Amino acid sequence: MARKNSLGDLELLVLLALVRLGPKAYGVTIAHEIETKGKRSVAIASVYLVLERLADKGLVKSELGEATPERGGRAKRYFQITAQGLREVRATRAALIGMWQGVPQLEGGTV
Amino acid sequence: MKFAEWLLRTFGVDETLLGDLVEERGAGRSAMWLALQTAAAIATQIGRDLRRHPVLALRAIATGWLLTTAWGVLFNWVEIHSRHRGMTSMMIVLTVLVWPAFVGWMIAQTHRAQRAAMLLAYVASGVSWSLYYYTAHFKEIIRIPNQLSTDALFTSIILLSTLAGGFLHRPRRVH
Repeated sequence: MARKNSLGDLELLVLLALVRLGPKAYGVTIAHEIETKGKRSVAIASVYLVLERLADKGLVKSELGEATPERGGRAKRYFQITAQGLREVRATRAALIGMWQGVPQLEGGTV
Repeated sequence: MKFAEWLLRTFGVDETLLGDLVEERGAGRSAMWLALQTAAAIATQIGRDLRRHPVLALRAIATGWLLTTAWGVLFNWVEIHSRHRGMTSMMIVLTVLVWPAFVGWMIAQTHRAQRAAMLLAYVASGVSWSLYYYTAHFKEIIRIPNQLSTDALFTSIILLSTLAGGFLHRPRRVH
């Protein structure tokens, strides 16, 4: 049976970045992770927009950290993937692998 | 960075995002990077506010048009009843500069949390109406010498005064 809430492209990248970063995940590190590992340039504001959407779906949760001088006295907001978020990532991976298999045009190549 | 911070605050961008941009700029990101991130943050914030508060956007537009119409009625009444020669030119200055700024200020005052998005919603409605008006009456307007350029100038000043009035509004901080 088809799933109701499938993840968008950037949503999946953000969730994967959260899994990779663990407790160090906040706006800057998430954007860096997507840029370096995902090879995709992204505005930090877009990351926050996606995080807000994911929080509305119950896939991520957040908490405020301490204010630091290099941020002009502003606090970081740390994000964490929820159990439901992890299930969504696994389900999306399974769906993508299912679509990938048995398609000769997608075999080989680097990009 | 100061200007970017002012812009981001004016448009109601979240403090944690502002902190991220300050941190990255301090870590050596270029001015161009900051400008692009600031533009993206502002556009995202406006889009989010309008999507999340469509009723407030309609209320802001209605507030603006109601005040503008009220001024139009008063203007006409003064024009008909005033015996002072200088009264009309003073009313024009009030119409073009002071009243639009007051309208912008009122929209900001009544929609403090999303003031930038609501102001832009009202200004966008003004631009749309002006474009419709000029398109519909183009043939009549173009017959009168300099009418189109004068109207365009006045409309631009009115819209800028509205934005200035709204952005000069200082919301009282809640501690």
